[in-house]
Amino acid sequence: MTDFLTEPAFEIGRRLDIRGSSAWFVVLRPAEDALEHFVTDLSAVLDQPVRVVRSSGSSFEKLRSDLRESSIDPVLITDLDEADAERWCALDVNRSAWLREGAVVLWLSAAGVTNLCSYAPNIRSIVGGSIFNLGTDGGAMTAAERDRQIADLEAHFEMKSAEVIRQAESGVLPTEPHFVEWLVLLGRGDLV
Amino acid sequence: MPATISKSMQASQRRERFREYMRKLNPTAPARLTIDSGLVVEDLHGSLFKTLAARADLEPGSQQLLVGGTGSGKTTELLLAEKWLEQQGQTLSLYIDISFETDLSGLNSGALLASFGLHLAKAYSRRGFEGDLDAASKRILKNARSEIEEFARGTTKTVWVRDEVQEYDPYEQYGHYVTESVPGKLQPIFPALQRDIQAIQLPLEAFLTAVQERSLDIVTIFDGLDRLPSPDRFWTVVDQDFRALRQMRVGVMAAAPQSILYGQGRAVSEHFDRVHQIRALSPDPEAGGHLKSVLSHRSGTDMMEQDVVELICEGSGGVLRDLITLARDAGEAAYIEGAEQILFEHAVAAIKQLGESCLRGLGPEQIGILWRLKKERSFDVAANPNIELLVTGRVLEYSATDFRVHPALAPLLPKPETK
Repeated sequence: MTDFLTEPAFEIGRRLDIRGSSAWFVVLRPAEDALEHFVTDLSAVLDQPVRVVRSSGSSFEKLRSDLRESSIDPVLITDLDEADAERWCALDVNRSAWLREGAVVLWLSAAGVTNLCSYAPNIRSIVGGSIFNLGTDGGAMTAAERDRQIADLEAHFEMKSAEVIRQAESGVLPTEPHFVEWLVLLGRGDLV
Repeated sequence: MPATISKSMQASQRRERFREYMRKLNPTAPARLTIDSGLVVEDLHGSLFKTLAARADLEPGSQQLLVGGTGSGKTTELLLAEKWLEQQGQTLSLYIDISFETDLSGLNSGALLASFGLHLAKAYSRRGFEGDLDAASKRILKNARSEIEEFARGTTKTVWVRDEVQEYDPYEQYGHYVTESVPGKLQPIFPALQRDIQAIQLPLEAFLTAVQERSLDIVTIFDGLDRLPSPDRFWTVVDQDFRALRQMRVGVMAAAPQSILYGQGRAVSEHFDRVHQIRALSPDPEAGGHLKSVLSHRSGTDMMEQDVVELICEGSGGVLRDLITLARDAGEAAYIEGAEQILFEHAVAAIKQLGESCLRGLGPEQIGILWRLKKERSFDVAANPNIELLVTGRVLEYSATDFRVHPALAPLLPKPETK
């Protein structure tokens, strides 16, 4: 499953952010439990809470109303790994009912992605190539990758990380996603 | 500090530029919004929507199907047909995406009529047609509306059930209330009876007569039925309802599963006046440049050189949604990397990601079929596994004799295992 691109949570968040409305993504979850971390990081980059929605055990009507409870917030559907072929087929034929203005992210294992691609051609068509592996460290980058990214941001904006934190604490840091990403990289998502 | 502000402004401007690009190249934006925003190239499929609409206009009560692969642009053509009919002023057209209304996976006879009835009654009110009716006509339509709503949503009533008692006391009440529900056609799914279909025709006729008295024909457009998994399933859903609509001289246009074109599915297509097919557009540059026109119409070519445009067109295989998806994904890759323009490598990465998603879920038999098609151009369109590959977009049809593996998938296909 490594054939798909691997992206850390904040890069997936940046992709969601730049796309604007009606974005669909599949995130290939790592083996260890990384959901909570992913939701936190994604919410920080998007500057709004990501709503977790469960599908299994839900009727068609329930899932549809959950997705439409608010039509603009980003939602993460976390339990589609439990869907069998019949469930995927049912989700697939009702694809129009899931379309919404806010982003939809499917949190799947490798087997879940295979099921989606096998039994849900209409959903696969709207997902297209937007399937990304989440880093195996639970969504965070390695320390070296993080340091390199921070150095890139410092060079690009000609500003030190300490200054970014100071401006964020003073409430004057621009809300542009690069600065959100920067704070997340510094472990200061609390300032977003 | 000024340098920081300047850099920040540059970043914001760049972000806005890419956002605008993404907005115009959004493959999942609602089709109606895309049309209203002027982003659709209308003559892409030879103005198919006009052919559909003209037939409906000239032949009231005709029934036409529109068939094409996933993401080929069926919804857009149906919406354009609706718009064209409205512009002619002689038709009340009702576009219904049935999976917005009910669970399509459990759909049965009666549901399409129920949905049609609700849309018809709503359109009648919304256009203010009731304003100049006399009191008796208003009463008739009010009753008809109630019957349609009960048919669609079902009814619930409380009835008194008498208990069996040994010693009867005339001053005591022996019994209890129970709630009886009659399911509607649009939520819980139950097999419908032919008599239900006949019963709903009466209230529908009340509205149809009222519309026809205004010299308007009625055309209903059912979208979403193409996602039903087989020709048999499609026929089960539409048979009785479409027959009733034909009796009532309501024109029908419907998206249908691609599989009705091949093998045993063809028997279903024979029930309709006309079956229109949308094929993949030729990605060859000398074939008219349709794909490039889609990108340039959405300002997509402003951010990439000609070679990148051609690569994206080729990688899409001529599937409209894939074309727009690839352009968007390449733009996204450029944005994430910090590039100002979309480069060849961004398009290559986007095509590879799309190919990976096409590859996922294929078994050895399917890979063998795709390999033979790729190497030997051999493809039996009547065989079920092959039809499946067409329906799922791994194989694209350019003409009745020209089938090809999706170009994003073709280079990733593993060599089949030899037995």
